[in-house]
Amino acid sequence: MPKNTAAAEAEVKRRSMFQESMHRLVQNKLAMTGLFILVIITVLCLCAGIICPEGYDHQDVLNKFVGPCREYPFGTDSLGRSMLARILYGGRNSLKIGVMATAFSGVVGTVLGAVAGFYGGRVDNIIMRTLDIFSAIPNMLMAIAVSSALGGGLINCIIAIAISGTPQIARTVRAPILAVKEQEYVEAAREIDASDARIIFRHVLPNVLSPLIVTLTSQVAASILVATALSFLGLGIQPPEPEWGALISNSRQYIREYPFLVTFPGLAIALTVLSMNLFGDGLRDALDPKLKN
Amino acid sequence: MARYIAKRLLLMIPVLLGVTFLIFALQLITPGDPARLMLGDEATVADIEAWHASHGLNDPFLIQYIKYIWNIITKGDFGISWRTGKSITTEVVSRWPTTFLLALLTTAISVILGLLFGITAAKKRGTWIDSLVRVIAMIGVSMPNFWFALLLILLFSVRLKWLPVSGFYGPKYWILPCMTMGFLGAAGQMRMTRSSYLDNMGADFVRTAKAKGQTEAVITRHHILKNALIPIINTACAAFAMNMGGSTVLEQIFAIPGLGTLMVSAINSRDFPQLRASVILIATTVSVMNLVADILYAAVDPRVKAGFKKSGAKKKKTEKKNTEGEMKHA
Repeated sequence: MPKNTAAAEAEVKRRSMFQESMHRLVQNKLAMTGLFILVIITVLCLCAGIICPEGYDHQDVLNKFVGPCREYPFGTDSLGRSMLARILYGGRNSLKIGVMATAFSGVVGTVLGAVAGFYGGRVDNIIMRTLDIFSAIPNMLMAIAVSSALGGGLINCIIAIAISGTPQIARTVRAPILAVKEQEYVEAAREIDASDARIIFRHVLPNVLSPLIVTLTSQVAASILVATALSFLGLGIQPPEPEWGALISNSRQYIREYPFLVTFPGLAIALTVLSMNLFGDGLRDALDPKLKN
Repeated sequence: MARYIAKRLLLMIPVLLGVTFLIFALQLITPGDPARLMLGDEATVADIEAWHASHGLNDPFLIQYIKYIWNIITKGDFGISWRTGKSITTEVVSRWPTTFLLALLTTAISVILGLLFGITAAKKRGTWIDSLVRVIAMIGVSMPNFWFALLLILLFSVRLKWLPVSGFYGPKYWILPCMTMGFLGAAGQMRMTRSSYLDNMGADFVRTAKAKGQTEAVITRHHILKNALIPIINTACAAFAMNMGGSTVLEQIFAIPGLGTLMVSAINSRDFPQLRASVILIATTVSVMNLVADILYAAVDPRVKAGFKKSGAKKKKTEKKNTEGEMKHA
């Protein structure tokens, strides 16, 4: 059917770069599975109030250390609190930290990287050498040092993780900017007297979008891992507020008798991070098919 | 080569000074007065003044920092503990080898496993072996290390009773911690090795080598692996930094007497000088290992050295940036 093929070809040609990428993404089964799991986990955590109306702090004193059963699908902890409720409410905190910390470092890192790359010279040197110092300290260590200085709590935890994630974002943004800032269309924009801000946002930054999106996705996953580790050490979210890492840390002493107290929160972390990584990989392949092998 | 190493060493100094300054400056954002924290609510104003004076906290911040650095450089003295008032240098320095050895060992395990499985997956690309290895690696990079450690304890110590749960008294106690970080690190290393190996497998020089009838073994070793090695060294270096930084969590779980456990106890007792010294020591170790990696680059990749010779450090830096940029996308 030649007519159909021609129509299909015209269809293909009409697609923009963005649509083309999205099409590739939707075709990727693993990435879609990741996205699907991620959406389910997010919705479950957001609906924690509906699924577990009694809240994460309700103690059923007569039913401590109950194994998974119909009433308590994930069992109960040392105080008789439903693990399902604690995992769902804890997920809110973990996801919040992952997303907010990444958003924070995304904004700061993009601005720093864009300024450094666009202006070059001394500004570039100052910004990048400062970031070199920040990235000389391993991420986990940086987060530990900052959050132990600031103290525990949601906001401090977000700040600590955001600081440790910023240098990588700045580098991701800076590299493509260095490549495009000498291009003719940037020069042309400058000739017609466009402001620096307009050139950066309108002509330069769009080139950065796809590596930035890819880095941000993987950073959300990494941030969640750091956040849970901080809470595991007792630095992040403070009790009685639940958090995935803190749940594992609290249940550690009962690992011999009641291993399910450790396995379920860990499974929640691993599943979330895994689905994010799957989606992130798919996104990378879709946005930059050259890199796919 | 000697000049190259010397220059890299010189470049490291400002970074290390910056790192120590950054860590030192953290005390500026710490809420509350450390003297009040250490001495308790009953302390009089005079007590607090005396405590400030004896811990050198009355000097301006910059003077404090310069004194601190001067003492570390000239005497190797990391100051005194806020909690006990005793010198912390011996404690910190005696714990360093454990953390360093553990990080080195786990990195070695992950590099060996990662290379082995990465190359296998690349060679068997598209088969079920490739898919299996990739799925396992994907799960590996998604697992929180403390949870994986607990699962290993559950299996090998609680269920099978093969290995001790925690402590650090002999070779038996090293197995579980090394397995935890070694396996998880191997996952990342494998992903990198696979993609880097595949990149080079399709390269023109490999086709040329095949066309002239070169044996498979020589092509693998000489043409592909040597070129694939640069991003692999990069990931190995990142893994080492991660293992050093992640030592806090790992040592806490297995009760290993290294810098990590010292840091956790310092955090719990709000003993900032002790935390500071540990962080500085770990960051310095990571920086030195980065330098070693840079020297390794120059050793495996003549382009790096040649670029350096021609136009000094500048060219070298851009080249390194390029490999870093490529790494991010891999």
